[in-house]
Amino acid sequence: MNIIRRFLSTSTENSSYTISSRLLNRNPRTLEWQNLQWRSIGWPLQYPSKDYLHRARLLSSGRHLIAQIDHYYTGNTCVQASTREWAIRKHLATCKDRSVAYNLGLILAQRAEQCGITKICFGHPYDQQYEKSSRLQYFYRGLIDSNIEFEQRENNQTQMTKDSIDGINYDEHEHDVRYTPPKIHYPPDTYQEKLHYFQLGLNKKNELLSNNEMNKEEKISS
Amino acid sequence: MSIIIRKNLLKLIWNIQLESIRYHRVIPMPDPMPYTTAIWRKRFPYRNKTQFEVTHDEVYTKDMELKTLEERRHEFDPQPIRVDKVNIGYLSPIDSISTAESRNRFEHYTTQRNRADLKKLHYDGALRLPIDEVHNDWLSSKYFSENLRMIADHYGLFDDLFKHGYFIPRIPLHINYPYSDEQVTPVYSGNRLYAKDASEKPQVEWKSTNKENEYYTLIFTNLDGHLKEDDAEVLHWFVGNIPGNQIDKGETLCTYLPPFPPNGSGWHRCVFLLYKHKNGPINFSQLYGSLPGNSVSLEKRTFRTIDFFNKLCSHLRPISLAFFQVTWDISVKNIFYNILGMKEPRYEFDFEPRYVPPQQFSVEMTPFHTYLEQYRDRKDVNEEVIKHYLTMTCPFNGYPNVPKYPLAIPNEKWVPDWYKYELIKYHKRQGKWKMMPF
Repeated sequence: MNIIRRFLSTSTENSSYTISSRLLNRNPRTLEWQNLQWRSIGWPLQYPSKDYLHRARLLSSGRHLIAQIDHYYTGNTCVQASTREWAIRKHLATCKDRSVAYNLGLILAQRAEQCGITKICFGHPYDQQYEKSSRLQYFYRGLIDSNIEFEQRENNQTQMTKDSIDGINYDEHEHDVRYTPPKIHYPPDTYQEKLHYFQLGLNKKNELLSNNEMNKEEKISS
Repeated sequence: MSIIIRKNLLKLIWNIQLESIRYHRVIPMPDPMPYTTAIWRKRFPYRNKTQFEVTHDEVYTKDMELKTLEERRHEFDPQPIRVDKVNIGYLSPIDSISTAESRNRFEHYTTQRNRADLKKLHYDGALRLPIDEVHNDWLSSKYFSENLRMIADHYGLFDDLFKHGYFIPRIPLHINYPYSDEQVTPVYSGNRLYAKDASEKPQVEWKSTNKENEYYTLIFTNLDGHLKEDDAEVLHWFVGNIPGNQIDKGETLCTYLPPFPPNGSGWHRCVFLLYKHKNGPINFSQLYGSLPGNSVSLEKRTFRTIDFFNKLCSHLRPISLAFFQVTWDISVKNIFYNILGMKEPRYEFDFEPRYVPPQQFSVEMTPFHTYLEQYRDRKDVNEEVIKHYLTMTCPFNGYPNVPKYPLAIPNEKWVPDWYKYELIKYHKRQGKWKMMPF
């Protein structure tokens, strides 16, 4: 069967344009979003482990609290929210309170999503410092309530696999993820879109928004 | 006589002591070749000589060949350029806070501190800040500018746009792509979108004073999507000489082309740059060159912000920045076919090849089939597997007769050992057969 393919455009300006066989993507962060960036390994016996890409931290100076997200490899601070800002401080009575830490968590997560950072590694989960300081607990609670994702290490390029059972897995000693068959349940486009919008939080409503009307309108329209 | 004797005695004793010192503090010669046999070591010429006979250089001749760090650096880059980045944009914030305003703010803080109801909210953990209001206030503060510059640095924008320059964006740029009748997709700093979100022209807004001679230029480029050259950008939208806030009154020197990241090429950064003119409108064709108006040809749309800014730096200054990241979507296919008139390319990530030692003609102690398979292209190996899988699942061949315990079935005829192990690998789905989905 002869399939005649016709371009709907009438322009012939690009008919003689030859593409190079290799495309260089200069974006230093593509590999991270595609899960192809080499990650550091060797942290199971060391604390705190540094196998994250983006880590949320709560720092306190003398009179202020600063919440920031660091990037591990470059050491840059990507996003920052602090009580020094007029925008935040004008609603507060005290600057170093734990409820302030909660709100800083929410604001930090919102700003991080605006910057393209959807997955954050939460600094110290169960630690003497964490259990002692309720401020830190409220901070992480704020991050969790803002529906931002937790960073997990899965499907790296080629690394020694770790089983959930301790011991050496002789069969899958070097598990090369590139050559596994893709796990697709839906046609690629709709599944990835669904996942993407789920990650961006467009299907979820932020419960802390006090505008109930807005929520109702969105529910009706979506 | 006695004195002479004593002198000689002293000399004697001194010499004896020297000799005894010498033999006592014997520094053994370190082994120059750690992996040698005992016979060789015994025959080594410097074996009996120690610290006075053998100097370091006679034994360790290899150290002289090693280069210092400075020399290696010089080899790598004989004339390194160290340039500090220059601030291209506005050095001071445009709407800075007056002293009266800041005094008001501090008074406000003191009143807040004395409010008992607020403190109660704090202690109960029930304090909720209005996030939208906080966001709007933040956009006009210096922390926003600094944060935006940090993020742009993190994404490497300034390296690719202006090689040795950076700027602090002083004004927030509000960009919204239409999504449906009521909803819009906003563009902040580094948002991640699909290509279909950016297929239509966005609404761009910024705050401008109502002065007479204020002109702006808006440029929208894709930093990573150039299909031919590595260091060029693709110009998607160019609006020049915008009076004040109204984009409709500016000259569209390049019509809007939606970004087209090809499949498999990752996330491309697309940047909106807003420049403010110093003295009135600019004649771009005179100063910069011809810009593609309606044309869709990708050659004309290659753009380098470095060249553009170098030619026009005395007339323009960057004042604002917004960027997002795009990736492939099915709508990109339509862009290629309908708008650009090209076939859609498809890319794959170029993984680093696994290291295999150089192939030798004959190798001992390795089974030949595993040895040779290392040197085959991985894609050919996978192709065999896929072909076998397709024959197994071919609908014309009937349902595949897969025994329940394939390893328990003995082979009818004799089969060499290496082939037997290959069959075991096949049944266990190890090695290259790991690709089989069942």
